Amino acid sequence: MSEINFDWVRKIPDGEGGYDTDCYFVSIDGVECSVPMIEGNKEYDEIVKQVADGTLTIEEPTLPSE
Amino acid sequence: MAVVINGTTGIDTIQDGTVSTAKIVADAVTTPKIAETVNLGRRNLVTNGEMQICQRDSGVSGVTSTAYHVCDRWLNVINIGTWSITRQGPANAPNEFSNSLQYDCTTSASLSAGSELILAQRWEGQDLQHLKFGHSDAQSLTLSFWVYSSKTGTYTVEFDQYGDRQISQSYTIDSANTWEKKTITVSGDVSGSIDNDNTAEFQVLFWLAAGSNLTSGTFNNSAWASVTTANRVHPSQVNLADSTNNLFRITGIQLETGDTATPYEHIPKGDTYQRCLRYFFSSIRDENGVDRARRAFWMGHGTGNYLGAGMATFPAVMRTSPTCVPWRYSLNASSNQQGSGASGGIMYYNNQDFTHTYGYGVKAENWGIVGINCGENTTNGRASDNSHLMCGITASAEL
Repeated sequence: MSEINFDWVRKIPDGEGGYDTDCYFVSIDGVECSVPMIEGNKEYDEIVKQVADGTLTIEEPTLPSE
Repeated sequence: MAVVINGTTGIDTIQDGTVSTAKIVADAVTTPKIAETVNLGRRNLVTNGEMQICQRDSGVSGVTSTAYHVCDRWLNVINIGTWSITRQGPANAPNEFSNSLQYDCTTSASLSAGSELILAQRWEGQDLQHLKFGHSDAQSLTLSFWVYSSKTGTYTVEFDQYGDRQISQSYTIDSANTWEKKTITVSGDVSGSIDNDNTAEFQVLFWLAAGSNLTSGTFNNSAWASVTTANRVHPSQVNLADSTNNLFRITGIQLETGDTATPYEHIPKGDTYQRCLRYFFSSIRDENGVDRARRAFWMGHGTGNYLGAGMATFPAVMRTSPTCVPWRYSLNASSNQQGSGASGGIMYYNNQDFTHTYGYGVKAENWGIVGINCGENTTNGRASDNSHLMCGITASAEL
């Protein structure tokens, strides 16, 4: 059983045509938060694990209401 | 043989050098005797063992999932039942303590094979090198705690090297709705190892319910061993989720080296708060979970791009760069509010809530925040040069 239930994980635009390389915009059990891309952060490590396991995909940014 | 010393009532002095360790009877000086009068400081490896600090909230209801819900440093692992988890006051704690953590079952559930209901604390490996695990002189550990439960029976405590090796012990709650002090000692692990880093390397788990996946093997209470899931929990483990009449409280949790439980090490609440801040910080609530309304923690200014530039320093260096939630700071709101999608702003932006379009990214180091990627604002576009931005912050670097 995973301890962290990601509703979604999204990239964040950097305003210059690329993506923010410091953090993801994430929803966990309905709570939105910012997860830093750094090994040792519990949520980031779980994102990396679930992506490697094929159970999570990093989404492109979309309007939250879409 | 009686000893009479010149008919006097005692010994005035003993000549230097005449009392050696060998001349003291082995059981004459014991840890409990010393602990009665001597302050053996900083021996409790547990943080917030008396449940004083609850920055996130003093109580939550309808809990069905795993998170650090109430008391700092205490992880609530939940996939069975629905719970009201609250920090209780002195009326619901042993005389020695001012708080306890309470689980109240509000929706009951039968066990499934994978059911888990656990209260756990985790440690960084760099804080436990003195246990000398992996060496012939590995330190034994003694856990003591106070429990109160409406449900008598067998419960399990597990000591776990974060998935590598474990040993468990059971204890019995003898009387319903009565505070009881329990003590458990386990030997040191001469074969294990605890990496010397800042990640989770060790945990203690108080099991409150467990499915057959965890109870169907041979209960491992004899020696540290590689984890076999079926051996982790006692086969008679209570299912605290089986009735809405069930209630469980715990406090005074102390883990120390050696084979003797010493009196609980009370430290000032402010010190415990400081220790907790390494793992979680809330600018919007105090150490008792009470709202600090209308308080901005991070303040910055727009750059004309997505970045809001500005710095704020955490009150303690955190374990690692934390996961952050910005909270709305509004002169017009009676309390802080969490941003949520396009309908909820997160920042005060030129006298308006900043309603993000693409999300946000808090650029956090372990010592503070250096900026926030605010994205686009649905009504104002990008944060213009020198526009004012501010928000409260919760930051989690938990294990």
